[in-house]
Amino acid sequence: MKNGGNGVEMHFSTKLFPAEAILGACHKFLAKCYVRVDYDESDARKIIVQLKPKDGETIDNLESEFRDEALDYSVKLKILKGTSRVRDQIFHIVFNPERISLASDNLQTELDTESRAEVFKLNDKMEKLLADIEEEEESFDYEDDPLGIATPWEEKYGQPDNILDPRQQIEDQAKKGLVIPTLNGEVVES
Amino acid sequence: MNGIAIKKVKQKHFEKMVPFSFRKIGGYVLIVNEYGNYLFLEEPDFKDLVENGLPYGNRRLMEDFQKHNMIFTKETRAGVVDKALKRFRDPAHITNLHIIIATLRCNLKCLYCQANSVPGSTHGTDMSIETAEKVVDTIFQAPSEVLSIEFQGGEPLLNWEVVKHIIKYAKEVNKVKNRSISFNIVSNHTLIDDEKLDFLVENEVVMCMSLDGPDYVHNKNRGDNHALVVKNYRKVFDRYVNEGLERLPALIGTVTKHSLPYAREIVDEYRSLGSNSIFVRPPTTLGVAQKNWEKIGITTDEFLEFYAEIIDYVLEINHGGTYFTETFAIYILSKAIAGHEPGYVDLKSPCGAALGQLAYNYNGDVYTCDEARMLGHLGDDTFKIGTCGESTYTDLIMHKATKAVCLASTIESTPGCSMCVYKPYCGICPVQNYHESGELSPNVFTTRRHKINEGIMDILFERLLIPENSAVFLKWIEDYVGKRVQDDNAVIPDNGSERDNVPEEKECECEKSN
Repeated sequence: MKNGGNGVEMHFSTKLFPAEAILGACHKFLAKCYVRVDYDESDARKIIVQLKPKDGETIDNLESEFRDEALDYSVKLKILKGTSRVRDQIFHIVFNPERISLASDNLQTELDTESRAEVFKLNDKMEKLLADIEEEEESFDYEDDPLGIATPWEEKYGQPDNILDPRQQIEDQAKKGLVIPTLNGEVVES
Repeated sequence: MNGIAIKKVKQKHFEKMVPFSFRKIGGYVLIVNEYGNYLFLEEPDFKDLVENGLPYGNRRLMEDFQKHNMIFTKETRAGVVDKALKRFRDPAHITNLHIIIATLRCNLKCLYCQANSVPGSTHGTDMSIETAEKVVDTIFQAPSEVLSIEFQGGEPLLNWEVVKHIIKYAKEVNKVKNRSISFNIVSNHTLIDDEKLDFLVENEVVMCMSLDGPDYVHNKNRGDNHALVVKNYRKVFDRYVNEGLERLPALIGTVTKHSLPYAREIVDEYRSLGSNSIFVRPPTTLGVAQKNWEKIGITTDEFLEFYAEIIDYVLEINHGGTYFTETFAIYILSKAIAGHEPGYVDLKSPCGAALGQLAYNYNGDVYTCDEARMLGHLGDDTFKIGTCGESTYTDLIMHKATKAVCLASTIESTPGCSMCVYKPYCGICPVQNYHESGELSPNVFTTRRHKINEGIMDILFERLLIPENSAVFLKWIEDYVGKRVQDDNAVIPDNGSERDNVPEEKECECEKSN
């Protein structure tokens, strides 16, 4: 670490801190600092971060806050990667509810007292299902509307049997005495 | 997090865990899984977890992890999936909230008016009957079984005939369409009279009314009308009670510089009027609020200090045996404690724009949300997505601006938010971000909303650590969700199926503009 003028310089080894974690911390500190990120030309595994406080910000605790943030990001990244298989399984069920029963037969979720890699190996059928899903996701077109989110009610559920122009409806109902004319006056008259 | 030996933290330590994030709160470590279950850990336990993996030898802790859905087991699977379903399949219930600007005119001149209302004598900013019908026809194209029509402004009562016509016309159309339909009106209530009140009661229109606190706060923000507003509120409230209406008139306030010294007095004012809740929100910089920012503006720190004071006072009231709630806290805590999705558009991912709400301007122009409409009044139609009578619902939803807003408000893919512990509870407003920074997706750490939401959640979770407070919060959530929930914030006993009986509820945006 170097403290020079109104900025600080820190070095991080990618053996300990993933580069994404350092960049994540830099992103957060952009709100209050000017940030320069580089790597050491003599040792590419070493990341150099320089922080210079923006106007109104103080240099106090800048280095320790950044180191805390880099550490948090590093742990969070490891959690993110470590839990990715469980996340995939959950998403698989959530977005494919018709497959829940099949999935629940095959998900390996027993809480073992020892950690064995093969425990997390899904069976072939499940692997194929996940591969199918990935393929579907790859072919997903952002411009399409596969869930029918933009589909109007009538197209989705069909026209009601007795659909008429609303004014016609009111007029018909008024004639039959089914609506209160005073309540619907303007609509009928228009 | 100090003291963790990063060398010892391995990916494999988390392979049996539901994805989660963490944050230090009040001397503990708060961990929240991606679907909203939370658990407080003591720092040494958290350190042990990340450095050594699940503590199989610690039965108590392992039971906690299981009870709070932090590990993916046979026992927790259904609960976790239920939570995830609630969180990610909600967009299927679109578009529920439809905000209609019956007029841009207003008889008041509030310092923080986000809607950029025009004086009451102005011509050309009232919705016509013809446009009103086109708006209703567009609303009924939305594929939601539940439709909530909310009148905003301006002051909607200034264009009373159109408000009445929309309600009557929508009810007639609904005889064929057969949706569950409700009406809200956001009004300053200075113009309410017997004829209007009769109609509103008859049609069970839910009324939201602005009240910023005692006269020495309210009148500074909204002009000299506190006495009239209170008188009318009492009249409306009594009438709704006497008629046995289920949803009583609600009060809502905006926090400005004038409010800051009077947190307790503002709560007391609400209580004196018979209200059992308060909704504390900061002003935005939209509309004339921007021009008047020097007079009314507050910093995020000032707002958070005020919010903490309100929450502590409200808790004190509850500890004294009187039931009184804070609405924003309920929205957040109902997600955390009950796994309930309140549908509040500001706290969704993607946000409520277009999928949760649409805003219809007085001239029939359609915007992704009410904030977008307010931006339109400032001359920026970036988020205008169509016009009633010309655009179909499909056009509105497939519009590039709709897609852009949805992408920009998806927390899961937003740098800075995607790994935040509060991700399951929070929301992004791209329109507000765009207005403040000129960017749809600015660095979230520079935005006011990030600072305020994070700060509010810190305040709430800090209070949750105290058992007497968590008992109060639990009572609020029980009442809000309408059924008992377990105090362990875990799954409902029957693996969540009981929650399926809770009707989908979409909160109105009551009083964003008035």
